[in-house]
This record gives sequence, C-alpha cells and structure tokens, in this order.
Amino acid sequence: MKKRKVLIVDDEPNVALLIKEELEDEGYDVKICKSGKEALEVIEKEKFDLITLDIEMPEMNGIEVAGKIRAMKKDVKIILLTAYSHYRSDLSSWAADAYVVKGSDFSELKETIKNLLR
Amino acid sequence: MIMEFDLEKFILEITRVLVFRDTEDVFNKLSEIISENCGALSSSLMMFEENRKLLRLVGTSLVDKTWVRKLKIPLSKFENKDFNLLLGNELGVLKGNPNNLGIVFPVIFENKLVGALFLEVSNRKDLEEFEKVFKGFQEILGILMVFLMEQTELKYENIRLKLIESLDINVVEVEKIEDIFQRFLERVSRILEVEYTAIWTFESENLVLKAWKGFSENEIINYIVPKDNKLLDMINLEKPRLIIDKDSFEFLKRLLNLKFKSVILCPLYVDEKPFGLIMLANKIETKHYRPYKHLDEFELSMVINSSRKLSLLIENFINKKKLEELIETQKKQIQKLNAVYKIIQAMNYSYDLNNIFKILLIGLVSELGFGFDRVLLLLRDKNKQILKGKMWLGISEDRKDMEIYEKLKKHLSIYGDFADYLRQEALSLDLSGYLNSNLENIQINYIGNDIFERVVLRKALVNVQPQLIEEKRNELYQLIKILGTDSFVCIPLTGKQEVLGVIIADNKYSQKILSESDIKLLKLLSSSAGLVIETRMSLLEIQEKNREIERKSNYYERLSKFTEELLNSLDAAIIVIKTDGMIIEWNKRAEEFFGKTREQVIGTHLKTLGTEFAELYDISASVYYKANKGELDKIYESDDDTIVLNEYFLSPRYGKYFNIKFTPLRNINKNTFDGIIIMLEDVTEYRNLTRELQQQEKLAMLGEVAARVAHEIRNPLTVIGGFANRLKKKISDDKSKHYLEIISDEVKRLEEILDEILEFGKDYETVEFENFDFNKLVREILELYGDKVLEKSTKLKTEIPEKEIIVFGDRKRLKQVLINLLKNAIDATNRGKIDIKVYETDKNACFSIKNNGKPIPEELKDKIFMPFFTTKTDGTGLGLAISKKIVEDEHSGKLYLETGDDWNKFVVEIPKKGVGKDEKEKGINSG
Repeated sequence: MKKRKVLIVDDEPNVALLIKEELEDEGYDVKICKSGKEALEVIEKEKFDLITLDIEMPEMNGIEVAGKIRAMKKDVKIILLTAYSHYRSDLSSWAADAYVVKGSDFSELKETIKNLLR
Repeated sequence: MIMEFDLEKFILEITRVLVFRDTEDVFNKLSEIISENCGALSSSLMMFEENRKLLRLVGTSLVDKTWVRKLKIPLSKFENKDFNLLLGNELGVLKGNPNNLGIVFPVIFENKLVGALFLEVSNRKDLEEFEKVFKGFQEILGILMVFLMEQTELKYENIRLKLIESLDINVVEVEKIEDIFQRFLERVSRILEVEYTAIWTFESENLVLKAWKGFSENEIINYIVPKDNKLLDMINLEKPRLIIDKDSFEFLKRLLNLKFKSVILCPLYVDEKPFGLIMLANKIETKHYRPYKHLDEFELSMVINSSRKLSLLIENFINKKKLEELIETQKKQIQKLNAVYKIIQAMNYSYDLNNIFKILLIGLVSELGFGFDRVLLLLRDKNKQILKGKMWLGISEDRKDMEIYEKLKKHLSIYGDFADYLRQEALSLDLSGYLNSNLENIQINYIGNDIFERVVLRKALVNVQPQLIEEKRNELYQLIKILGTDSFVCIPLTGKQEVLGVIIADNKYSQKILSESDIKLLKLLSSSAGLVIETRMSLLEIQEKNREIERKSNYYERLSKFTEELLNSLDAAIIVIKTDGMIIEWNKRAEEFFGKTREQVIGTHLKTLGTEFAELYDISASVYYKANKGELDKIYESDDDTIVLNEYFLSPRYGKYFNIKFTPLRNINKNTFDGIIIMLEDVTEYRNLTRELQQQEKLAMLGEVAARVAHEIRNPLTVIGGFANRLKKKISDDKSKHYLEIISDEVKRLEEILDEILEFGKDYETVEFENFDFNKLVREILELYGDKVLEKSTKLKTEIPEKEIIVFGDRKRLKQVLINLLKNAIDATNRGKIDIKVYETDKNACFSIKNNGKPIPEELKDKIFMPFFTTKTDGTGLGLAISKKIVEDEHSGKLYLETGDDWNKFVVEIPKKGVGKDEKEKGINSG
C-alpha cells in the first residue's frame, strides 16, 4: 500500500520533528514546512493527503493558510493544531476538517488522522 | 208647699245653667232653679265680698231684677244675730209679696263664708222644713258659688293682665314724653272704664298738668298747680289714695271744672324721685254684677301696678334720650376722627412739603375738620431756637383772605371724599393775602417762654385761655398782638423725637369753645401730622436707607436659602458643632444616615449621640485643640487644617464606610474657631465597586498573563513529553523506563494545569448555549463519579426530581462546574456524607452540594473563589474561580458557599431562560 503523504506546518522545529517521528511510526510519509508561506509553495508542486497546521504562527497563521489551501481547490484534509482549546467553537467557519489540541500525548492526533484518511 | 228636694235633678239643671256666659244671668237662673226645686215662693243669691265685708245681691228669681248688683248687706248686720233669722223689712225688696216671710241661709264652703241664700216663704212653720232642704243642697251650692266667684276673679285677673300688657309702650317709637302720658291715660281709662284721667309732672319745681283724657281744655282752670293746693301734698303720699267723700274734692275742683264722684290719686316716682301725679276719676257704669259707680280697691291696686309701669316707661324714655344724645356726640367725634384720618391720608399722599402744610391748614379750618377760624403754622429753627411763621389761613379783615376762605368753604361740597378735597384744594391754594404778607415778622423765642417751652420742648398741646396767661401776658405780648386774641390753642407738630413746628389755631370770630374730645383729637392729629412731615423732610434719606435695607435683606435671605439648599442637596451628611460640642447644624442627609431628625439633635452634645459620634467629637476636638495652641496663624495659612479620614468604618450599626472631613469653622474677624464642620460622605457603594473592579482587573490580568505563560510553556512541554514518550518505547532498561515514565506523568500533570489556566483565561465569547435537561446532566456526573465517592466510604444522598428541568446554557461548561464541585466535596470528605439536591425556583435551576467536614472560615469565604487559592495540597486553585466565572459571568447565575457547624454547602443557581453575555449587556443598557 502506498504511503499516505502528510505535511506538517509548524514554526517550532522541535514540535514539528516530534510530530513527524510520531506519524512516521504510524507509517505516513511526512514532510515539514516552517511557515505558511513555504507550505503553500510546497503544495503547489506536491500532492499531500493531509496537512496539519499550527494556528499560532508568525506572519500567516494556520487559519489563513487553511483558507488559502481551500482556495487552491486541492483535495486535501486539513487538521488545525493549537495550544489553545478555545477556537473549537468556530470550527465550522474554518476550512479545516479537524481540530486537535497539542499535547505530549499524540493518541488523539493519530486517531483523528486515521479517521480522516480512511 | 214644701217639696221633696231632688238633688239629681237639681244638679242636672245647674249644669245646664252653667252654659250661660254672663255671670248675672247665671245667678238669676240659679235662683229660679233653687226656688222651683225646693218649693219656695222666690229665691235670691248673695255673694260675700271679703275685702268689703258685705253680702251683695247677685241674682234673684223675682221678675224685678232692679236690685241685682245694687243691694248689699254689710256683714255687721248679722253680727250677734241668728243667721237664719227673718230679716223682715230690711230685705223686703227680695220678697214678691210684702206679707211673706224671708229666711237667709249662709253658704259655707270649706269653713268659709262664700255667700247667702234668701228664700221667700209664706209660713213661719215651714222654716224647719226648708232648713232641712237647704242642708240637702248647701254643699253643692257652696261649690257652685266658689266656682262662679273664681270665674269672676279670673275676669279681673284678665283685666289686670290686659292693662299691664297694653302698657308695654315701645319708647323707641315715642318722640315726646307727653306721648307716653297720653297713651298711658288712654289705655288705663279704656280698660279700667274710668271717666277722667290726668297726669301732672314737675317742671322746674311746679306741678304742671301734662296730659289728660275724658275732658277738654275748657274744663281746665289751672295748668300749673298753685303752691297752696292740696294736690301738692299728695306727692308725698307713699301709697295712692282713693277719695270717695264728696267734701274732699275741693282742691281738685279748683284745678278742673269737673263733677267728681270718686277719685284715685297716685304719686309717680321715677328713679326713686317724685316725678308727678296720676289721677283717675269716676267710674263709667257697665253691666256687671258689681256696681261700677265708684272706683274702689281694685282700681286702686291696678293704679299702683300701672304707675310703676309708667315710671319704668319714663325712665326708659329718659335713658333713650340720653343715649341718643350720646350717640349724636359720638357720631360727631367719629366724624372728626375720620376727618383727622383723612387729613393724615391726604398728607401722606403728598410729597411736596408745602402742599402737606397746606393740607393740614385747610383740614383744621374746614367745617368737616376742626372748623377753626384761623390757623397759623410756625416752623422750628433748632439752631436759632425760634419758631418762625410759615403759613396762615382763615378768616381775616382782608378781602383777599376772605375770598380764599370762602372759596374753600364753597368747594367742600364738590368733593365726595374729604381727602380728595384737601389734596385738590391744597394744590390750588393761593396764600397771597394779608395774613401771609408779614409772616417773617412772626418769630417766637421759645426758650424762656413758659408756654412755648411746654409746647416745643415737652411736646405738649396747650390751650391758651385768658385766665391761664394772666401772669405770662408779657411773654406772649407780641403774639397776642398779632393774633388779636388771647385765647388760642398751640398744637405741636411732633416727629419721632422732637417738635418740628407749632400750629396756632383760634376762634377769634366765632368764639367757639374747644371740647375735651376736640383736644384729644388735636393731639392725635399733631403727632400723626408731625410724623408725616418728618418723614417727608427726610424722605430721600429714608428712601435710600430703605433701599439699602431691602438690598441687604434680599441678599441675606438669598444667601441663607442658598446655604440651606446647598446643605440639603449635598450627598454628604453635614454636622456642624460649636467648639463646645453642641450641634448647630444637621442636614437632611445626616438625618437619613443616622436616623435622627434635625430637631432632635440641634442643641445637644455630639458626644451624647453614641460612641461613634463620641469618636467624631474626639477627632474634632483634636482639630480644635491644634487650632488653639497658638499655631493658629500657621494653620490658617496652610491648607492642612482639614482632617480627612478615608473609607472610615464609623460603626457596625450603619454598616457603612464614610469619607469624613473635619474642617474648622473660622471666624475671620476674631481670628478664632467657632466650631467644626464635619462632612461625612457615604462611600460604601463606591468602595465596594472599586474593590470589585480591582478584583476583576486583577483576575483579568492574571488570566491574560497565565494564558501567555501557558502558551509559551505549552510547546516546550509538548516536546519534552513527546520525546520522553518516544524514548520510553525505545529503551529496554527498566530503571530508565521508569524514570521516563515519571517524566511523562509529570509533563501530563503540567499540561493539565496549563489546560486549567488556559480555561480560566478563556474569553467567554466562545460559550455555546443550548437547551438541555439539567437533571440529566447531574445524573450523568453522578454515574461518572459515583465510584469515586464509594472509594472514600462516603455516603451519597441525592435528591433529584423526576421532572426534567430545561436550562438554556453551555452544557459542557456547566458540566465542568458540577464536576469541579463534586470533586471538591469528595476531596473534603472522608468517611463522611455528601448531600446533593437539585431543585428549581421560578427563574432558576439550582444545584446544591453539601458535605460534612470542617467549615470554611468566614474570612476565607470570599478568598476560596479567587484563582490559585487552594487549601488542598494538589490542584491548581483555579477550580472554584473557573466555576464562579462560568456560573456568574457566562450564565448570570450565582455560585456561593454556605457553612454550618460541621458542613459546607455550595449552591449553584442557573437562570433557566439563560441570560448570556448579550442579554446581560442589554439589561445593563436598558437599565
């Protein structure tokens, strides 16, 4: 079975690395972008099954990035990651497919990805 | 023939007789009945007249009634004789046949003789029989005769009353006293049926015939009773006299050419003094059982009564006349008083001093005023101590003066109002005649002049008469020469303090004399007129003073009103005390704050109002003390003489905080302090608000900081935790694995804390409201945590109604609150008891959770809801703060703690209809 491709967008390299390793353990093909801008460029060239976006990023936050990706009409699942939990209620207005609160425990994220890519 | 006497028949017939009104007829009828019933030939009835001691024939059965009322038998005729005795010839007139015999029976009633019955009989032998018969009806006859007699008496009584009544002459209607006499005589002669009547009265020691009735002037021989006439002696009689003796009328016949038969003479006394005589002469004969030929005791007694009445009438008349005269003089006085008033009124209306003088002079000269012939006005020169002629008005030999005088007199009738007259005439008064031509020459040095010193210096009105000035003639020589008379009146014009001038008024030509009351009125005029003149003299000055006073009073009034309003409109209570502690001001707000009215506390000592006030007083006293310690100047210049106590908790009684300001009440002039102004401002609400605000600000800031910190920590924590987990999987060394396990757990705990902090800092814009069953929510939580309760051997008692309680709110957030409270209760209870109750009120869904255990102390009750406050060793101390935020800020409900001896109870009240943030704001805006 062909490996599913996941793009991680996070300005914190350690966090990005951690997520990458965790997802690679699950058998995903993982790539990292350090900013929204970089991510949009990468998406132009390369097709991903799923993108995780950190909301709190300098220059362009995760929500904006998600909106731009949707505008590109790419067939891709989007998960928003945040340290805050209070964005949850506005989810419907966002372009994302899911919302996951960051934490040292990655079981919730893994579960969510699994469901979205089923 | 003697018949059997039938009493019943007799009584029946008698009652019929009583129908007759006329007494004479009654007695005749009665006689007929008696003779018929007892079989006598005739019978006659006689009545006993006690005052004359005689028996008078009042009725007979004989056809010839000539003797009725005329025949009388003195009682003395029966004396020493048997009463039943035959009276023979003496009573022959009572026998139809001279050959018959007559018997007299006395009629006795109640042991008193009332009359007699005469029976004509033919045989002497019948006497005894008749006596028997008479005894049969003598009782009824006695009653009958008394009754008829009383009826007669009644008739006399009627006459008496009628006479007295008729003599009620209304003196008010009577013009002359002779009219009273005339009316009196008319009535007396009519009612008593007297032929001639007359009244003499004294007129300057002579007795004069004043009124008469029954004869004409032609019969009068002498109107004035000659000094030797016996009539004059009659005046001294105490009682009226009845004269019947023909020879005794001589003295009357010398006065009146009349034929006298009987005369009553009655002296008339008025006010206990002899006033005159009343004469009644001759009776007019009328039809009656008594012979009205002569006047007798009855008329005599009537005259006594009537004369008294007449005396009263005369007295009344005299009094009336006196009263009328008195009223007349009073009227004149009132008119003059009115004139004085009008003169003053006219003077008051005038502003020009000369006009005022003229008004006064015209008033004094005018007939409606005092009617003086002349009035001279002198004004006082205080410096030179002289009186100087100013104006003169009145009668004089000069034609011009007389023209002026006559013109004034003529014009008097034109004006309806005397004051108008005075004002108008004063305006056009021409004083260019002789009287005013040499006024400058009239100068009186009043010092050393006895009379004028009295007038000018002692303000006395002096009526100068020739006899009065005899010795002082030299002093007044000049004035008397000018006036041409030595009787005049000096009227001072008196101001408030001193005499301004003098008016000299005289009646040189008319020689009229001033009355006492005129002098009184002049005095009145002199002071009133003086005041008017003085007022005008200093009019401008007074006007200016008045204006100033008015300005001042307005200013003070406004100032005091302003101060009062200011004091009462203040939100602060103002108490002003004197330096001795007495309260002198206590405004409306003070009344409200301390529940004592102004009236209650003004004048009392501040210390007496209670300990808290004593405290205020002590502080006040320290301010005062400082001020009097010789540091006054220093304090005065500085601004720090006001003591301010901020948010001072005066007394638990009021539960209020005050900002209290003490300010000394300065007396700038004396450089001292008069008292202290204490201003108390209720800042309780303000204090609570600021405290709440501070709290909220603190919390908001805390939340913000916490959130920022949490966010910054979150990522590194995620990395640490994440890699530790990864390492754990890769390492096989058990010890290392265990260490990594610890790191991982501690990171997890840190993450939980971060979650809570983030939760607390979260903006409640993100709450999601929905309708849900509050009961169901509670049951869910109990299912989740029920085991935990049991773990701690804690008894759980729940009371949840079956019926659903629908609440509009954020279910998840409220769930968090309830979990929080349950967790806390479980943690706080060991082998204890937890009571959970769900109930609803009109507005709210309520949840209460009670656990036994040590109660939270009072002072911590508020603190436990503050963030990071905890009594537990674990936990963040944010649980209750978050819960409070969710319940109160997000749901507009209430979360509070109740405590008992060994329990704590948290209560949650959530509005069922859901009042979110928007509604709350709306509420605030609209409120």
